[in-house]
Amino acid sequence: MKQKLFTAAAFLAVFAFLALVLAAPLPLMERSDEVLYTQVMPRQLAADGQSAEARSIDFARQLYDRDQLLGIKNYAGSILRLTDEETLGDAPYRLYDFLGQMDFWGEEEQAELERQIANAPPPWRSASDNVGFSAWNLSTTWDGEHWFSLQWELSAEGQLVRMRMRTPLEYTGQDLEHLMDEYLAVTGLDALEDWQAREVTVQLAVDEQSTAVLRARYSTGAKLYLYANYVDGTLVFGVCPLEKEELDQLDVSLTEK
Amino acid sequence: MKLAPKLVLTILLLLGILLAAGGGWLLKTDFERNFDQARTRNILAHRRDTYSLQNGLLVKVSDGMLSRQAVVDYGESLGRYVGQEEGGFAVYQNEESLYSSLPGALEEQEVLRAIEAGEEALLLQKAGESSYMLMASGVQVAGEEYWLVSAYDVTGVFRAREDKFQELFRLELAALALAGTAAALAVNWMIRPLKKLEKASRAVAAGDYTLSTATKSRDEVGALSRSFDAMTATVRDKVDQMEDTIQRQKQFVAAFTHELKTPMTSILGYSDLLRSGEMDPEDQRQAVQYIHREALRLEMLSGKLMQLMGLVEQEELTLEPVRLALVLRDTAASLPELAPMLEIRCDPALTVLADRDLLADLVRNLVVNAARAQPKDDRVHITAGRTENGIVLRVADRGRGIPEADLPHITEPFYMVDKSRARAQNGSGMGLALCARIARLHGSELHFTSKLGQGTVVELNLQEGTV
Amino acid sequence: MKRNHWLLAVALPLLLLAGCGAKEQDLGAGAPTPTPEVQIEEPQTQVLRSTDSRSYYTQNIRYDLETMTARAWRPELPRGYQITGEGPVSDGQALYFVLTRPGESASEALARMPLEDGAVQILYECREHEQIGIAYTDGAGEYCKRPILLRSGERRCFLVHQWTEEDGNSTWLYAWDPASGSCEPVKRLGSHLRFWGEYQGRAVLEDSWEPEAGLFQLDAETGELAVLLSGENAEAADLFLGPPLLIRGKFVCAESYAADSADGKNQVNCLNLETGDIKQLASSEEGEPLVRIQDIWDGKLRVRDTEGDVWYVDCATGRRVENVLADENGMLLHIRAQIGEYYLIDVGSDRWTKQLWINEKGEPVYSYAPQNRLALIAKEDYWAGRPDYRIFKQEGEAAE
Repeated sequence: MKQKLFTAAAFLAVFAFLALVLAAPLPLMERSDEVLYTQVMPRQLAADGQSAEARSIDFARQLYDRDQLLGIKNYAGSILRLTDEETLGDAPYRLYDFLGQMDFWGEEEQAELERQIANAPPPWRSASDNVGFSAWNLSTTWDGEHWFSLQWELSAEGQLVRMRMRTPLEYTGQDLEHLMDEYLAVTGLDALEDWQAREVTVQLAVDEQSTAVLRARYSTGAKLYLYANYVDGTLVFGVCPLEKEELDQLDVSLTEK
Repeated sequence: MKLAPKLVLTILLLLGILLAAGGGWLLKTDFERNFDQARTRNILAHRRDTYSLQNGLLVKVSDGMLSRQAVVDYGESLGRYVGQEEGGFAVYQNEESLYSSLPGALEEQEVLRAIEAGEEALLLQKAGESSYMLMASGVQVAGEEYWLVSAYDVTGVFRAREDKFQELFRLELAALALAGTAAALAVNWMIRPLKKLEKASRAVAAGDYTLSTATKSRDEVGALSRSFDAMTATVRDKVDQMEDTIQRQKQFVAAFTHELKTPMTSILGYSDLLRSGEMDPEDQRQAVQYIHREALRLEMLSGKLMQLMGLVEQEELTLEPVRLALVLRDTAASLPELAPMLEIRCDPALTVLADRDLLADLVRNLVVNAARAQPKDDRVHITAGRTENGIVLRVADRGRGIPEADLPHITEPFYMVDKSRARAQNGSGMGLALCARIARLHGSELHFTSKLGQGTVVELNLQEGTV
Repeated sequence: MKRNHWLLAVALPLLLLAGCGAKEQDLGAGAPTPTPEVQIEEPQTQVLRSTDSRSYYTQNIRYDLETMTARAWRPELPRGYQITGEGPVSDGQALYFVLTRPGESASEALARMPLEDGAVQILYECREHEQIGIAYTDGAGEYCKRPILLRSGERRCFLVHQWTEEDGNSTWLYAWDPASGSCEPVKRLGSHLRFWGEYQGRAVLEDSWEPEAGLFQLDAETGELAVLLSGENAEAADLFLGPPLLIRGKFVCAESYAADSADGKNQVNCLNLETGDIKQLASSEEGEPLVRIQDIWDGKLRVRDTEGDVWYVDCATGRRVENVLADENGMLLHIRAQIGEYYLIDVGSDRWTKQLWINEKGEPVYSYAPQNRLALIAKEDYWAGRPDYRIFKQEGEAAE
């Protein structure tokens, strides 16, 4: 009898101890929470990936951050969101302001651009606002007959990100190099010292009478890809953030599209 | 406490501690990981929001002034762009709130504390039931400095931990209950042989040596059980032997008393008659004759008894090579009345290892016994020869024979197959007992072969010796 | 129990458990098809296609029918050259494709890559104002053009377009002789000959400067042009000489626009070369979407209207073909090529891959695209709408 009582008591004691042990995390959790709620935790501030030199250039940083933080990778692609009609109002002038700073941009080009913008009937205009960047896409004609889309994208500070324009003028590789130099100078990206020329090895569908002059440069520190092309009467140039791996992929990525 | 509950409790205790430690560690690492993930995610979200404020608000600056409406508009659009998470944000300028979608439960001083902590800090703040991560970053717009304070709801991380703890607690309880039951069953099963053993030892203590624990298990408990069984078997044998000895001693004493009493009664009777002096001389002579004979018997009995006792106490004999023919000659010489009956066939060269006197005694007793069996041919045949097992001495007669039931007992002291006849023939019932003892001292046994009405053969193997 | 028995007792169940948990072999996605014994006879045609008896080739991927895998093929090119957007054709021993040298005025070349060793050999380098003749030689029309390569015994023939001040446009038949390793012009075929397909194993050509002269069958062995459809056949000439054509099997299909309709009324007609019958397969009335011809597979013409609807019309009966294999959204699965009694079809995929590519103006474009996968299906299953196909497994990094 005594032994049975003792056994029962031992069981009770062990169960009580076990309950205590199993519930032990509760007070420990509370203790650690108290520390969490009172301490000031550190937070990493800068984005990794770009060099300090690149981070010091607002435009380079803005381009890269948009790509990294917002995941907006529309480059020469889609229009994201239509904005109010009113933002279009001064858009051409901001573009003119930027282009006007480039020695490359002559009167002929400017006249052609103005003519094309004037030719674009208002319903065909579209624009997008990509947090700090705005893009325009105007359907217009360059010879009064053939339609094409005139595109450009500007940062909120008025830096041109990319542009696509049909032009009756002809450009050589030298012209395009000049264009790129000018572009870098105006945007301040020329402060980056690691711009390297890239041979564009992608294949374009070229017709019998077509011309294609492609020029590109890449900055490893800023992870920016600069391009200027003259393909079949269309002048395109711009800059976009690309990781090194993406750049390598680009060389072979044009497959069956 | 019994062994089984002791074992079960120990198992439960160890398991409980292990589970608690493991569960606690799991909770801790899981929470830390989730918290770190939430922190990384929210830091990124805040950077995104800061970027958006900087770049999204900038385009709404007109005349270098940021209107309150523009900030409110921006707040709405920010939600649209980045998929605003649980929580909210506020835009401050000079410690004054321009816009806030922060949860109401967050006090302003906490928000200001976040601004004060600066751009490289992160605060965790409890507001009501919810927990928020607070981060602040400065934004320069049109020469003015604004502060963006973001609050991200991380209540889920804490709640997930609590849920996990509860789930774990229930799981641990269930595991303990299961483990307890399983341990109880297993321990019971394992100590079953021990219980059996305990029962058996109690039975042994109570004098019952027949219980076997018979466990098939090959572990230590099984080995113990088998050793125990072997032990009880040995004890049982010993006890049986002892009981047997006691029984025989009792029988011996009873037989001895009886053997003493019979002549004593005769002596007392005749001496009483003689004392009365009313007997004629012939009867007197007869009575004295009786008394003398009975006294002689007693003397012989005591002599034989003395010899047997002496032999019983004697552990070992010094055996010497003896010519068997000489021993047989001695025997024949000591029994002149039986000499005509004896027919001895023995190679005179046969030599055995023996005590000459005792061996002669043995043969004499056997011969006397054989003669008493009233052989039909009035002969007692003594032969000796060499076999594989040494030298065999055989004493045979063609007398009455011994009943089969008596054969195992005939070497017991005082055992007489036919008491009245034995006594009439002056038998003491000690002869064969003596023979058996002498044979044993020679490292041999007596072998009796007998058939009623046909005769008896006694054989004795002796070691051959060399002179 | 001995120590090693203990170990065995513990290890065995563990091993068994491990065995149970082992990943099952990937049996391919979705469509469990018994492995078809793909046995394809060498095509009895002079025209080389995107397929041979073992593989189908795109610009950079080889789809192997034996192993049912897709693997990148990337030849090492002579310095300065690039592969053009035109895919290769195969004769079973080698691939033939067009190269260009960017920045050079005479930039094209025809190259040959033996399948065995992959060493690229240039067969013909164009001079200034010369081009290698390319066309949609077989299915996959929308995907890429390929050089027109014709079998002539051991020789391989191809078309070269020229433009000179004196002669203007001309199209020459060239032959490459593997024995001598040299290319020689065989014959001048006309001013600007276009390849529209093949009939009875021979290339069918039309002179784009003089379409009314008729359709011609070219015998690569002799270089002879035989009239297949003469301009004298007024009714047929009106419908089939001039507009872009599709010639497969015994059928010639063309879209024609009603002369009186400027706002786009059109019809699709089909000529049976064996019987001379002309059948109208589809048409659009005023205000309806235009109908475009895409491909002919085993006498069934695939058409697509300008609103995106796709369907097949039987060239012989003119009736719409029902129960064709389609995806869960009802979109017909596209046939890329045929190999013997099988079709290579595009099957969609749930997997979307981030794709960075360069558009036609050389701008980087970032987009998410569904990873396209190819599958092999028996022709009868395709026409019966049974999704019993086997998907090619991807190997390496090459993504479609």
